Amino acid sequence: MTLNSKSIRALTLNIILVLLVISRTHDAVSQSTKNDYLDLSIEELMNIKVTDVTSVSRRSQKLFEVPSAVFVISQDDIRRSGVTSIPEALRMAPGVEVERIGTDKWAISIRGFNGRFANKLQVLMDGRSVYNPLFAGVQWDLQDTLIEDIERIEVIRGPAASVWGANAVNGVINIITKKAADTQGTLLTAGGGSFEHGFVGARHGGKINENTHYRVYSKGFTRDNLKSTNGENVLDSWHSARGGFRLDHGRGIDQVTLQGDIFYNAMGDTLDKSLLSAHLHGLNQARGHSEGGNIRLRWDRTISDKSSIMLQTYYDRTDYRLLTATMFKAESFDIDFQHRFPLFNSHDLTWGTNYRMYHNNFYDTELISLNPRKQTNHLASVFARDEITLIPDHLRLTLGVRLDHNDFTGLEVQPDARLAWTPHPDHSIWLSVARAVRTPSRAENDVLLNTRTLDPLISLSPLPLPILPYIAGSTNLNSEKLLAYELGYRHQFSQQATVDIATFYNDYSQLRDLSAGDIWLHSKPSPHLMLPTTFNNQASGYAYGIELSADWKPFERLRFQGNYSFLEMQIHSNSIFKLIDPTTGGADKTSPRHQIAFRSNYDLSDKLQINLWLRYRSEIPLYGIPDYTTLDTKLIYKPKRNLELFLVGQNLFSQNHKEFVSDFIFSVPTYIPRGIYAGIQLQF
Amino acid sequence: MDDLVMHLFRGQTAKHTLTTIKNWIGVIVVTSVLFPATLLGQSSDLGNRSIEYQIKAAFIANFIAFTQWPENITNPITLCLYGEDYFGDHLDQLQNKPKANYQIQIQRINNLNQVDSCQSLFISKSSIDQLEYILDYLENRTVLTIADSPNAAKQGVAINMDINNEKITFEINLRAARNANLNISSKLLQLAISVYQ
Repeated sequence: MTLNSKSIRALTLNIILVLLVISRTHDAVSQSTKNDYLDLSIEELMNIKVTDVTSVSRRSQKLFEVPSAVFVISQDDIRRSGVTSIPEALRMAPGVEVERIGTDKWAISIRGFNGRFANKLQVLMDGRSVYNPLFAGVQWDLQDTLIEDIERIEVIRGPAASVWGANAVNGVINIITKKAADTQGTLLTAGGGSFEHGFVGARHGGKINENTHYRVYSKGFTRDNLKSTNGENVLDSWHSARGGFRLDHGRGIDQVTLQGDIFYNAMGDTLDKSLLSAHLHGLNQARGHSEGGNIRLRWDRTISDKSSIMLQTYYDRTDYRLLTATMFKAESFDIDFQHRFPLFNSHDLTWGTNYRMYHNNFYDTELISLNPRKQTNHLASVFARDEITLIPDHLRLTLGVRLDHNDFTGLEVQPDARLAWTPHPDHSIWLSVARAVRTPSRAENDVLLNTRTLDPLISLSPLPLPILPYIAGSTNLNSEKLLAYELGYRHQFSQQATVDIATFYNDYSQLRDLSAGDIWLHSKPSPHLMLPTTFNNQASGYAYGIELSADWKPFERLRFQGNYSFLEMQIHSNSIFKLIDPTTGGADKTSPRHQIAFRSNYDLSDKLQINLWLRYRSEIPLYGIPDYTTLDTKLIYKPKRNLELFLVGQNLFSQNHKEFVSDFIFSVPTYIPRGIYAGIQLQF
Repeated sequence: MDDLVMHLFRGQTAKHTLTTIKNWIGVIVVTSVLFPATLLGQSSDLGNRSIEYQIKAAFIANFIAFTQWPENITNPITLCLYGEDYFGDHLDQLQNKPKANYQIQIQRINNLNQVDSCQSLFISKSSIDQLEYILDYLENRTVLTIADSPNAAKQGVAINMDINNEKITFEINLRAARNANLNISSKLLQLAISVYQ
């Protein structure tokens, strides 16, 4: 380890001292607790947002008070950015790595360990977990909704396992859609362009009676094929249709929500089989489709400001078929209960319990097979969390623990402790220690995967023959463990300007590694050597970094947002596989060290808005992908109150740039092109 | 308190030993020592010094300013708060800020028979289950009722605040205001998201 504990302590103390000095000097010049809102007109007051976040503690909290690294992407951010999908919207958050692999494929992670099946990130849509336990990851092509109906996306960096359970290791992304009452009326949108070939969306919201609101929506789009780095069309064009509804009913202190979606996707891929084990044959090109849906029922009872009950249940299913690569059916059922109540004067308690059932059926392909094919898994958990006010308004301690029981590793204990210190209403400092685990996926237990031959393996070969590794799952795999230490600081200069700084040190142990078995000779179709490999828990590593974000609104019509993320990682693993295992061994080379984003929103008049978004990402060494800088713009013209015309330019700085390479499933690497589209939106 | 901070930092330095559950027991022990301290240390005021209540206080100042008070009501207007106080000192700050010539005086009451001195009454969420009784008690009194609980305007509170799309909105029950012998300015009526006649 290059970073010793002394230097960490010195660094931490230094930061605290600096923060203390900052807060003291500020105290001296500003008055105690002036309410600036008193000077505003009532019209101005009506425009101020009371931004809450719920992902950290599973109840509403003010962003400024949260003892975690949180970033909120609002509907306004999404609208002004010109993004057309949830993965692209996530690029706005600091500390998040979003790399596009193909038209419908992304690698998304937080604070490292990025990959197409990045496994240390929990993702929820309206409280429904979309983490796929089959291969431990999120299939981003299946996660969508009418983009205009998203209220906000909360991004937590760092572990949140004491609240959200296993696999919320490096972060949580919570996509929250608007209440039906906030989407009344009709919205129609349509447009198209170069990469975004065409899109349509429609939503209608109404009310059945004073207490019952609903909305229905449908959308569709078609996106272009990409070109491989050799200039060939990889035939991954993506056509999607989706529809859904939401019904909200409020009666006194009770609130009931029923929500559901269905979707159909057609997509494709070109696989690079030249590198795969020699007995594979068949076409390199695959086309397929996926379909699925979900339904969710939630009941909330708000007994008082600090006392409430929540009960939620959902069912979700997906059929995925992309031959010759993968084919599976997956279902999940979940029931979740939580209760919050105050105890004495200073304790704010929340506890809850959850049961989830997964059932999946995997069909063997020549690339991947799972044994057994069908499996049902159960997950049961209980959590408790106490927010203790140590000094009213100034110091709060939060202690939480979650016990998960899963079929693969049994009981997992995930505690955390968080301290939030608000020396002054404009300054807050928080620090935390948390433990989180990433449980093994079914694939890691049951898979037989043909993988590729690569140069680093040639030295292993006793004969002048090609050597082809294949991976066999291991049933005695343990969970990967994280112990994370975080320290953050937020400062509000005024209502118009804020900064947020978060630092972390993540200590990983028992990371999933690979080990090699005895080489054997395979004679068909031509003689080659086979190298069996399997999983163990012998890797370890650490990561540290800092994320800064700032938001400044110098005038009502002008807003700047900027962020910078730095990440340093070191993994200790089996050196033979270090360069060919991007999930663990090579993970310290799959994430950029530096990421910078800068956004500006300028309202030239009531009718014309211009939005710019500049991004820089440093190189990805494992894949030899160079750094890039790019620019997105969105020009919005509103000739009438209910009519919006827009023109969007994406990735404007270059004709093509490379972002990432697919791991495990060897999709041909592609270039991400420049894109231009125009559209119209009508509301009545 | 210092003990706990030190404990957390020790955890950070000796991170390898922290992997054991022992250290979590340590945290719990330290906290359990803190518990009695926190229980004795302070009374009430959980101090939700939130932006939400800061803004709500500013709204209330406007509600009072945009109400046409009868001639016999003289400055200052007494604003009473019934139930748990989520405002902290934000409500008190209204006292130094006269808006549209109305001076506001704040009074926290815990019994309705103190309501005689109130010209305006804010009914806290914690007391909203007694709303029917409160409104009965106030009948025929010149009191502007304000609340921030779902459906309160429909049940007879003159002005009720809510959060919609992350912003504070309000609705007005015009009949309730008129029964209290109050007129609400057309400006407020225009900005309200719903007006019950």
